Amino acid sequence: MIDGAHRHVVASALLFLACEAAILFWRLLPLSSGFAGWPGPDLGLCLMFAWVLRRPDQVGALPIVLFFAIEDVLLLRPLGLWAFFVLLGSEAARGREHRWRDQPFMVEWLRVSILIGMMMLGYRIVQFLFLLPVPVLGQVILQYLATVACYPMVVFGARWLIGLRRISAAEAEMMRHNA
Amino acid sequence: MARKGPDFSTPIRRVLIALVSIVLIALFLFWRIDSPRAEQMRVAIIDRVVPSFDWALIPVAKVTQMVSGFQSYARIYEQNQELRRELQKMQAWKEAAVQLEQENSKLLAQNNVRIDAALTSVTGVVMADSGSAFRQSVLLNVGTQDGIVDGWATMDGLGLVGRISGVGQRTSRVVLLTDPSSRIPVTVQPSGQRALLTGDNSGLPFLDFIESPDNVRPGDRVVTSGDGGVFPAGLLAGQVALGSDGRMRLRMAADYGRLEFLRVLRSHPAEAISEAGTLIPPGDQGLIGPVMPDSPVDQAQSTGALATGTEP
Repeated sequence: MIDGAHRHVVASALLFLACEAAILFWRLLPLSSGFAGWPGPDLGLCLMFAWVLRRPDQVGALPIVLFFAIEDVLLLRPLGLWAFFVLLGSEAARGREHRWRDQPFMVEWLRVSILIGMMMLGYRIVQFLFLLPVPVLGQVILQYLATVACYPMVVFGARWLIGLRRISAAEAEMMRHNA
Repeated sequence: MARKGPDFSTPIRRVLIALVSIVLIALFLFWRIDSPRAEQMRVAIIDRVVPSFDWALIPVAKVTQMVSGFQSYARIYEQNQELRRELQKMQAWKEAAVQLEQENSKLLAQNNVRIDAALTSVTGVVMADSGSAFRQSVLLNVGTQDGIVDGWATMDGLGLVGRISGVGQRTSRVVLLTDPSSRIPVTVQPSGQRALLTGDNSGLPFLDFIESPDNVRPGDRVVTSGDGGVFPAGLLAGQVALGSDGRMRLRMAADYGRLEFLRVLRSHPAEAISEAGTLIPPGDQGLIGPVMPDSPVDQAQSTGALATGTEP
């Protein structure tokens, strides 16, 4: 039983990585290259929060860090910095998940948006402290708004496409027994 | 909740999270301190990873472009038919007219693209985007094995697109003119004003440090000036446009909405520093600087002027 559950967790971590990789792949496609329009939403981040707040047992810190570190490398960001903030954010969400579980979706949305905002703020502050070139504030805010606005869509999309939903109380109880 | 979940507060987990955080911070500090080496690593990783998705990147991009470009496949079919009919009409034209048109278009292209005759180019296919909202660059499928060198200019059919920054074995990255870190010295043509073309992550990069902005008008041609010797001179960049913020901006000649094939211009090697060479004397001549005069005491001793006969 434990072995089966363990295998299930590994499979779902792989599924998480595959979904994130698909999103990253889509971003890397040279579809709108050269067109500097509105900075789009960070769908990978939304998916990560949706997953952590629904099935925190399925996606550990390591797959998250691994993926976002790779994203740092491929997207020309400062190496490791955004991955660090994502780790902090995901751990903050994970630690509060059991308290947020029973609340309506609007509250979760609000809390996730505050968390993303704090991550972006911290990222920007570190960029300032280390004298890195910072992107224009207006564009960062646009990206933040787009990311927050996309969060419900990502949640529902994940629910439709890969059946990602919150664990019921009975299931949680069973997992605790198994653990 | 009376009890916490299974893996929330186990001490080992906390230690591991702290360790991972430290590793990430160390990675960031390494990147910040030794940026060139870290960027080399990044280029090497991208060079290893991205071409392995080549089989998927290009077809998916093509298909998506087709789908987004045309409303439906039926429409493509109609257009295809139409084009075939037009082609048949075209073939009915007189040979001379076709030739004339070809010559005309060739001349026009030559008029617009004033490339130095000594500049030859390598053409590459755009493989991937920067993927990030705040960086404007594309990845080409040519690299060191095709002889690409950092800093070379990149153009599409008509105008300047950007410059090579970061070359891997099989890939190279082109930083577009719109990237916030892109700075290109340019000349505004009729007036000959020098300016610095500065990207700011918007569609129209702006002209900075114009000597006398009054002489620059919207519609003026902008070409690279070659100042600083790193970038070839005379490449068409675009036309001056007045931005909504009152700044002089550049409407690029290159078709930024459709970057598919880019030409990387083989620039001449950077000019050798000739002046400093003469400063260094050939061979090992010891210390550079004023030569110590011979000691007068030694001189006197050698000539025997100090021998006063007082020794025993």
